[in-house]
Amino acid sequence: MKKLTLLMSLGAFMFTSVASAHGPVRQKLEQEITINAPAAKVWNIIKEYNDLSWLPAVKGVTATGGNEKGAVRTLTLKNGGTLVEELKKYDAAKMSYDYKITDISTTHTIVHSGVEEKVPVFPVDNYAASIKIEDKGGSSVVSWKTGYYRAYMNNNPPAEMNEEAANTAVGAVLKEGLENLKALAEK
Amino acid sequence: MGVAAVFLYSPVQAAPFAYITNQLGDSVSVINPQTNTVENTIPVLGKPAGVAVAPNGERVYASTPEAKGVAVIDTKTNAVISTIKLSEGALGIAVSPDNARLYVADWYQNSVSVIDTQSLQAVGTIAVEKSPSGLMVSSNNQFLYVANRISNSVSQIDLKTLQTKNVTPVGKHPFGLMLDSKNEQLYTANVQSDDVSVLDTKTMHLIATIKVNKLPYTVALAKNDSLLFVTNQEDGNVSVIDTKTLKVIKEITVGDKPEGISTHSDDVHVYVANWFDNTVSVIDADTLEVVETIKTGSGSRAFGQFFSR
Repeated sequence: MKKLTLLMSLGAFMFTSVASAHGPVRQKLEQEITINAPAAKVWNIIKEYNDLSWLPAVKGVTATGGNEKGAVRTLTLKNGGTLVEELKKYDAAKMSYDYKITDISTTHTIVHSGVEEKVPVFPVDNYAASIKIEDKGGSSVVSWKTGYYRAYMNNNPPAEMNEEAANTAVGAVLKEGLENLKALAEK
Repeated sequence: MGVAAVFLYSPVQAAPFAYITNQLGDSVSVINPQTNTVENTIPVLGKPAGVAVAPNGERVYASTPEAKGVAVIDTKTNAVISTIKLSEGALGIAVSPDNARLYVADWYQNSVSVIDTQSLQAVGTIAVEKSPSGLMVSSNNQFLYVANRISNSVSQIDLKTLQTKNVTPVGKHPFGLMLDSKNEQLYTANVQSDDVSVLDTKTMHLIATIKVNKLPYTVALAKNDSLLFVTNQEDGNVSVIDTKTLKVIKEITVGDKPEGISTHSDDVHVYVANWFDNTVSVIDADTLEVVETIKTGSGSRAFGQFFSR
């Protein structure tokens, strides 16, 4: 059993259930896809905040608030776990909306530097995103932009919660989502 | 032939420049405010975030957490000439008004390193509270003020002794802070409580708390300390506070996820780094409007005082 004294002497931070602190390097990931379908058709697929049937990683959504600022949706993920996301901005005319993750469930715990750490099912923190569709005549471009920190807020993060883990997880959701959206819209 | 009369003409001081750290682009954009264009992009490895410009304009220091230290830029050549090895917690950074000392807050170690700017060696360490972020030296070089993010407090350090003179609780997660030009009032942006704390430096008492918008990160003063500008990262706008009435008088929309903010020496133009948009918004403090948006590099943070005088 590893002693906790080393970590304690560094002034161990208090871990709260809401991860509000973060590391020093904020991450950004943006992906775009061109869809051979009119923008309005693509928007029709994604425009309801409570409907993520186009996103493969999500098994189901329960939501309140419709498409009003402050609306909250809870995503149940296919690989287990839940995410809670709050709608920050909604602009039907611009075919765009912004949201942020306010809660992430824990998938399992690990022991790192002698301390038990909860690994979130989506290994990110302070995650905010925006999705937007641009009309290009008969086709459209969907851009999905995200900003976040790695899940582990202290230094020397474990592999499960470092920047690479965050970037890989976010990248996978975006890629799969945009590709599926394209497939649905081009049917 | 005769002795050539060497007429040493002192050129008019070159226009001050703004140095913007682009954290994800591993670079620093050098903006010339006369044209509001980026004249140089300096490669700086290590995910530069914090920035401090020496008052004499000769050096710019950028904290590079991934390179575990600070990069030293020579403004004549616009290149990194040296690096200072500290730790991966190096983020908040400030230079003393006499150019002699560099203070670097260690985000993880709860301390501030004191660096001699000539030798670039650490000459002292100041113990502060948890997760020190923004910091600033008083213009008379008497005190260093440090925002202790996780402790929700501000430390006032006596620079003769490097000892803490006062610690004052402020709002939740203070990140950036700013002292007025008379060294009398101190303002902190409190990220988690969505407000600004105002302290009287003589007593180090909290004299006011002003609600702003979501996730306020940094603050800057303009117009002879009469206006305080606060970047609200989540809302993509800047709150403007009248420092006499301590009330918000306007909200100015800037880019996405604004963070760093600093005022040009003309005391009128306030520059804001928009991290998500990779741009800098220029606000005119007379009209309280954005007059220009400048494209910088990826992930512009510019956390610190990023203008040369």
